[in-house]
Amino acid sequence: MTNNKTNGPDREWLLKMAEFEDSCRSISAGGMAADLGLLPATQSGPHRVFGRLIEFARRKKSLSVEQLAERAQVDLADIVDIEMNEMAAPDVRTVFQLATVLDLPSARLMEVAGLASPRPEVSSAALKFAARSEPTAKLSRDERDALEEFVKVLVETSDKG
Amino acid sequence: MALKKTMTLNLTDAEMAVLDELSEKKDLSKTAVLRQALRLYQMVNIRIERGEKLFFEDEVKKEKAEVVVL
Amino acid sequence: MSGIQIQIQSRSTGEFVDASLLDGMAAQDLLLVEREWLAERSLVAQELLRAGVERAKWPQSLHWNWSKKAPQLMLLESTGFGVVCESLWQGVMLTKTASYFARLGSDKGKPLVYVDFLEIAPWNWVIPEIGRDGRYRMIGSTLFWRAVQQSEEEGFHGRVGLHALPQSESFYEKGCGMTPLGRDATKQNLLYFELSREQAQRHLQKGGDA
Repeated sequence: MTNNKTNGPDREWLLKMAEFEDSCRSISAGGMAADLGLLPATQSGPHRVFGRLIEFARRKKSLSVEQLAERAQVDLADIVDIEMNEMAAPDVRTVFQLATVLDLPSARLMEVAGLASPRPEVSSAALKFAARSEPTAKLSRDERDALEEFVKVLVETSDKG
Repeated sequence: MALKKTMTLNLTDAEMAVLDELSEKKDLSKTAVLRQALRLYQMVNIRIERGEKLFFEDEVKKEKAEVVVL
Repeated sequence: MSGIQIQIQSRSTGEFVDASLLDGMAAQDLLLVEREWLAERSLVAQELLRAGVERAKWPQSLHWNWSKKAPQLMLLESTGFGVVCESLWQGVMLTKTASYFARLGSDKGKPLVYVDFLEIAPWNWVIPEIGRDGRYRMIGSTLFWRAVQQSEEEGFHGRVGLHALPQSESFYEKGCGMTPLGRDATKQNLLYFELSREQAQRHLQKGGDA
């Protein structure tokens, strides 16, 4: 039988589907959900850690945001977005450039940025780092230690390939 | 659906052959293939105008070659 | 814009009411959608906060903003569909027809209709924790049906793809009969779903006959 759009959907069929619709808190679909707004805090983990890592690595090299943007050839707005916005979604090129300037292993940085599936060691190191880091102007000894520990894991897992 | 206008296309044998091949491969009518090509061309151009770049990547050789769209 | 007459159901009375399923939305329509929905979104957020509802239970599209998607509609491959009832937008969907290709089965590599965004108006949300019963139902199902129709019209044989927000995964799997194909690291780890041409037949035959 040919399907004629102008007749509209069959009510019984729709009602069956609607039962499932009703059983869900939301039926929204959206691949770029991060673009439009917030996903629950539990899902935004990777980006918060990534932003914090970039900020720390930058401060360790005594670079301002402008200087980092210039050296990495990335828009200033993008660096600010990465460091400040939990929902920032950096692209591959930006992450690669940042890795080069900040001396971080690029493949692992991609994982922290959420652009590749993270290995378990990276995930747990990221959680530990997130728990220990706080956004203050100067890197305190604690923050330096936290950063070094995290970077150590990234480098070690890089060496393993 | 929006009103449509008719256009006549003059294609070479080679172009027609490619159109036939794509139509077969993608299981689309020839009109649908051309429509897809137009959509893709527009989308690529808009993004390039925005400053983005289009790449092909060879996953085996780990090589990236830039594609410039005019 | 063109469209067809449909019916949606009022939750309070159970009555079926006339509505329009429109396609060919323009950028200004999306701006209007957000103007209509923004106040209600804020209200919902305030009610959720006041009631101390845990974040995991908040509707995951709460902070969406359709006006940000308005520029998308200048692309030929994008189409905006919406349901209008009582002169208000009750649900909106944005699809793309040239950027995504099937990963499933024998049609792998062939084009499909990708649902870029789909959302129901905030006053239709059912959130028992804050006493919200929702005004109308069947809107999401109708919009999904329209995506399958569009796929058929395009010559894609009903193939549809989308990334579901976590709260909607079971609707797309069980309600729409789609196949989950794994989490996508490039899309916030959202689960990617596809409707194959075979699965689409059920929607096209059962869902749309005279």
